[in-house]
Amino acid sequence: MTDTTPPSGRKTKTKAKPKAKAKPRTKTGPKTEIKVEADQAPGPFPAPEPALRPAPVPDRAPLHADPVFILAAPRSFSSLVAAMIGQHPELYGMPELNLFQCDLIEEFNTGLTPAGTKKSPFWASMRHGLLRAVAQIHAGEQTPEAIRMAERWLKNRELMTSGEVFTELAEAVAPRRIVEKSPGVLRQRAYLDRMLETFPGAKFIHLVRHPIPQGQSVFKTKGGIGVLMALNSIDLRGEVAALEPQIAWYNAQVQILRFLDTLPDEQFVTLRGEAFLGDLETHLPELCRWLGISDAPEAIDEMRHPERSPYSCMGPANAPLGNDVNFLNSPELREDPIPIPPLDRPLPWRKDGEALHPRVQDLARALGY
Amino acid sequence: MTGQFRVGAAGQDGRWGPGRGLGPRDFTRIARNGFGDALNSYPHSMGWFRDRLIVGTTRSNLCLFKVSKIAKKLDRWPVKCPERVYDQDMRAQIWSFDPAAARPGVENAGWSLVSQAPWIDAEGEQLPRELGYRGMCVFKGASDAHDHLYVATYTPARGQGTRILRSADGAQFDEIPMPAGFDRSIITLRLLVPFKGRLFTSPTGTAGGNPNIAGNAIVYASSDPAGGNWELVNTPGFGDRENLGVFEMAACGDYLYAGTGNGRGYQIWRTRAEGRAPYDWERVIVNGAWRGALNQGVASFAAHDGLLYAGSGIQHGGIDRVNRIGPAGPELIRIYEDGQWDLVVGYQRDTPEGMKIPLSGFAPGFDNPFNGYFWQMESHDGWLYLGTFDWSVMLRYSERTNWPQPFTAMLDRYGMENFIAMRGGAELYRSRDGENWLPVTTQGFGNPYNYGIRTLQSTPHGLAAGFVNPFGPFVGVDLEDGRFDYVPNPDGGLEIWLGSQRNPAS
Repeated sequence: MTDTTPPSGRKTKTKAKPKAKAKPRTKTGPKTEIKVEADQAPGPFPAPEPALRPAPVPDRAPLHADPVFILAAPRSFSSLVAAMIGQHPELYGMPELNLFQCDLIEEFNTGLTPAGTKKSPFWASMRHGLLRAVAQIHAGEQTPEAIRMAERWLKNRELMTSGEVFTELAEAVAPRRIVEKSPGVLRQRAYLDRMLETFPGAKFIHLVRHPIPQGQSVFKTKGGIGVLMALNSIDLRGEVAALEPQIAWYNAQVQILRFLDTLPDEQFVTLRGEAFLGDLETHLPELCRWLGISDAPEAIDEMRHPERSPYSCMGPANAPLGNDVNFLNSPELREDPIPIPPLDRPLPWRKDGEALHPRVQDLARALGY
Repeated sequence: MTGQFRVGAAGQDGRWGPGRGLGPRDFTRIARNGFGDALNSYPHSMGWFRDRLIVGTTRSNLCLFKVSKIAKKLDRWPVKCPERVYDQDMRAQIWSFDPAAARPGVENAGWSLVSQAPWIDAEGEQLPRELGYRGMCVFKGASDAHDHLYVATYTPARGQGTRILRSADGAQFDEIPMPAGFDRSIITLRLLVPFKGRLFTSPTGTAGGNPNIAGNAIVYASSDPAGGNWELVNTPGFGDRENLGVFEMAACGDYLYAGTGNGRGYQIWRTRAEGRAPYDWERVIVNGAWRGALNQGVASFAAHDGLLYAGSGIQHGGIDRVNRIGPAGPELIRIYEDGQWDLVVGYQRDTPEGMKIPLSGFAPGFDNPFNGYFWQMESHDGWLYLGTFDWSVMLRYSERTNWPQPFTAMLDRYGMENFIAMRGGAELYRSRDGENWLPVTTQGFGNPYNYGIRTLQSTPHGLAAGFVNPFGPFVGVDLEDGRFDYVPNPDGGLEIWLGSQRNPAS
């Protein structure tokens, strides 16, 4: 993609309206544009971690093409967009693999960190995506028996690293390129670094949603409150602690931006979900060209059918998930206009009439809202 | 527009990736109760010839087993047998299936009996010339105008010795000259393997209770079997007297492979079959792939995606009482063209050729100790299928005195009949890459008497699976009043199933 719109400074004029032609954006400005000063990040908005250096390039020529990773906070259209992109005939859309949150596969299988603590209260279901993918790739079906086969596949790889297993999957679907998103990778910078270390040439799509509808969606969705609690997205400033989704939104964006800050411009793109989905006619071919894949009409048409992915449905009883359950139950693309509220409106989930935290508003503006 | 529109390999459903392979709902039973004659127990051979599925049967195997000299420990015989086994019609049969004549819901529709073994006079006694047809292949020899069907026989101990039959039309079968080493003591052979324009064979069993031990591992070949011209093409026993027979052969790539039975564990040899006989043979596997005696023989070979797969077995259903081997589940290995090999199903072990870890994650027998052999394999439509022999149902008849106490306690707690209902029946597994396996059925497609899959045949109409079922016409059961008696068995007799995703139930 060639659009080089700076990430900040233009959006206040259009914040009340959806942008019909907002283009995907690569960050080309100075790498310090998103400023989150450490001494200005109290309470729920922590200071960002220092950036790491880019990972080394591996010795051998890979037998696969570099994957496309989508980085997004929860409830940011990522299931839909990942499934859409993954339907391109040169790509292979995966369910949420959650691999890079582990070092060894043993960790993935047990759900325990090397220190022996639970990785996540949801870890059992976070394994479903990989199980479904292995079943589909190696058995051609997702049945209880195929999932058990996938469990054996994973058991046999317990001493392999997550990067080795991801690479094996990439080779298995080659020449297609994997498209994958696992929102859990945003929980630790080390997870993102692991992705880059494994695939130094991967492309990253930073997918953003307006923080207010995103927060509303988190509250509305099944399991959303649990996600907020797991992410410690709690406002402790008042007398009563309150779940506050903008914290998770902000933390996710900062984590992503800090990570992308280490990459060359051509390796990532930021998409505002509302704008992207609002004009697929323009943005799908643009995205294809940026990824270096065909933008032929038949390929674009296929991308409009996320429901055709073998993972866009509930899985078998022993691995039913692998993605957001709401998406799995309703994976079709609905091309309705997506309204964008003003950033300074009172938050619908708060009784005190507060709007978004000023820092959240600033960041949202910087991201194009 | 950028780049060229590239599309990855599409599966059967238009999506990327493998077709899903055949599952249980893709299979339809196309023959049952031994084609209506429950004495047809083993679909011992199978071939696709002139647009027909041809099946050669062996009759009443459990009654033959009862009178054989093979050691056994059954305190109640599973089926009702006549006082003299030949008092029932033991003549082997060849059946032909026309897929176009099959009628859904009509049992055994499309099948016709095309040949039956003749009676012979054996020193005044009337015997069937053949009890069974144990091998089959399609081959065109030098003097054959077109492909012919060649059939290997299983004959009575007091008969004429095993023969190879040849048919031009799948209906009329004639004897052909046998290799010089096949005297009357050789009662059976199971191997007819085409390779590089020649037909290869090897004796399988001898009279006196050795249907699976020829006593010598010898291989013959002929480019014109109709005219004889058989040559011995290996050094007897491959130079090792403990190779008691060649039990399985298969072609893969540029090699013909031969798997032996051996008390120290099978050996696998291969040859390019070039130059003058005896050919140069290379040993690629020894000592049962370093498992030893528990990999007594190679029960099945199949070539799939350029690799040779070898399934093991212990004779007589996984328990060789005479040689005190087993019970133990079979293993599966695969061999690369360079002679390297992988353990696919089995126990992890350190070998002189390196650490071998089962790639599938399965222990022997696909984790089922009642699987006695990996009996048959077939590559079909991009997938490798493997059928087992599962002796669970025989527990009902076995002597219990030497059972391990925990096993007896488990069966008492669970109930014999519940156990048989849950675990009985042969298993059919499939794998696309030879590493990752999943079951198609673990219960003989719902019939615990279908205790082995002896034949698998890829056809244009799907994958045919021949289930061994010798539990008819009358099977022994424990009655409610506590007596053991024989009752008509509606599920007895061999079955043939056809798997296809064109099946309406798929």
